[in-house]
Amino acid sequence: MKRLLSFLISFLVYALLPLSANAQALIADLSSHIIAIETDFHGAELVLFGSIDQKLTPEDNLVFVVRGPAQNIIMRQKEQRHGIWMNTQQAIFEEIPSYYAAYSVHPLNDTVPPLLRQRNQLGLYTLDMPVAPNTTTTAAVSQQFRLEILQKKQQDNLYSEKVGTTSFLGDKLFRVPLKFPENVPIGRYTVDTFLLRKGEVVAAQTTPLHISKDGIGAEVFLFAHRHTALYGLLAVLLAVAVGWGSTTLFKKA
Amino acid sequence: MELYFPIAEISLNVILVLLLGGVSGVAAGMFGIGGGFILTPLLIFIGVPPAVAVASQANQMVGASLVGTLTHWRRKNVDAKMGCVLLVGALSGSYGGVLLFSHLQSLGQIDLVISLCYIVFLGSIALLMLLESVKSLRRDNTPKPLNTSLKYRLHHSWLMRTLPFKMKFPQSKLYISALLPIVIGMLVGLLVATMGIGGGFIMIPAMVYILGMPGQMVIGTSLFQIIFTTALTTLLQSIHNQTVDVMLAFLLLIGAVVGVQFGTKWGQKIKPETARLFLAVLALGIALKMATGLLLEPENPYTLEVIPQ
Repeated sequence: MKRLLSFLISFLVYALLPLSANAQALIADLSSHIIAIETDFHGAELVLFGSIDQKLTPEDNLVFVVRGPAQNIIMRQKEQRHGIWMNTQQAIFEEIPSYYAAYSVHPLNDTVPPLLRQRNQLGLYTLDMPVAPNTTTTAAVSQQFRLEILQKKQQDNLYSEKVGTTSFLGDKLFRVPLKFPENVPIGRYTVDTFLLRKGEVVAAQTTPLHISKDGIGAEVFLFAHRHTALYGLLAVLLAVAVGWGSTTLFKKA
Repeated sequence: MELYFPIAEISLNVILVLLLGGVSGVAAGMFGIGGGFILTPLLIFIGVPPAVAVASQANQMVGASLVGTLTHWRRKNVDAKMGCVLLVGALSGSYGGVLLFSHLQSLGQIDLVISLCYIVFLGSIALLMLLESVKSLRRDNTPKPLNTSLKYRLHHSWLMRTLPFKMKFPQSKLYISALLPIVIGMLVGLLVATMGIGGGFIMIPAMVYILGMPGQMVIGTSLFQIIFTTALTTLLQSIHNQTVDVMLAFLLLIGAVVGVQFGTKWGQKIKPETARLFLAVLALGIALKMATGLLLEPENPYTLEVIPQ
């Protein structure tokens, strides 16, 4: 009975799908949902492609946001004390995206109202960066830390904003290359696509992306984290073997 | 040829890593030191995260110091008994050092402490070595009467004679209190764990000037105990921080064992005083670099650190 019911439901869904697809303002997908980091990894490029229902006017915008898994960050500031430069302030920021890239067809500031940018976190300067509850730094220092996080992450190619990299085929088909640097963090990513018309989000879509290690590198990483003591022991034994082996080798030679 | 290192989480040129290992190997062969204080800063400089650099360097040194020990062992230049007594102190000291390290890390002052340790310990030993080697290069072969030297005075002081638990060390021809090497080992172990180095450059002067060991015994014996302290460090770092990159350590070690062969050959061609002068200048340079880092205004006073999950 249950099976029959689920069959009927899925039949209904499929029957209705072509209709809704036709009416959809936005369809987008990734060329691949997986990036495997192997030992010869030098960064990767994916293509986000899809279609919109009608031509993009200059007031409209198409925005793509790639977010990496959240991480916690400690920021510190050095000051001169007794002639020595040392850390004097520190604050912990929680749930910061480890990776963030915003691609848009038109500049974000021109086409998207501030409130909307803030709500959807469109653009680097709209990112939420809450401090940990027990933080002792003043609001001004915390704000300065936030700006420094944005700076440093951009220097490391982990945060970016790009305008005008999307190409169109006709009025409706679009594609945008998404570039990932070689130091890209591993984990679950989301790729959000927003279609904005006259300062409002008319359609949005989320596509998952998984970045993980693969090959020998992944095996080593997993082993190091799962069997910590055994890994340490094997690391020591390997060093002993190389040391011992080389001594006998060079003695013969 | 680039290779992705899974724990360091960056791609590095394999040739570069082998070369860095080779440089530390040459230094080890020539001067009889582990080369940690040269290699660790270099690794950080090419982009390896500091925690991974320190831990993988310890792993590499297990093999490198084994190579050195075996060479000295064949020449009967290792006092194993003294090495074991030093180890008793060193192992407990480095365990304490690991705890101290994580405490300072949570306070955000670990970099400051590491820099200060380098400046105070490496700097002062380098200065002493520099003065001594310049002096001996100048006057060539006129040995001073032994009983007025610092070594003689320290070794025959009242404190040394009255300390309990006296022990015989036949290979070094010493009869001294076991407390001395234990305390020295402990202090060195504490420093080693906080600075992330083998500690030969602190251990060797202490063995000569405080324990009064004969010169030809100190390098082998120091290397002997470094095998075990670095093995313990590798194990502790793997368990607590997962920062040991075996692939990095392996390649560094391959470079190092080849470098050692050349270093030993070249080391025999130069006068020991010249070698020491060279080493002193190098060590002084590193200490000065650390000092300018603390005294000059940094380019960017802000630092970002990701908290591991």
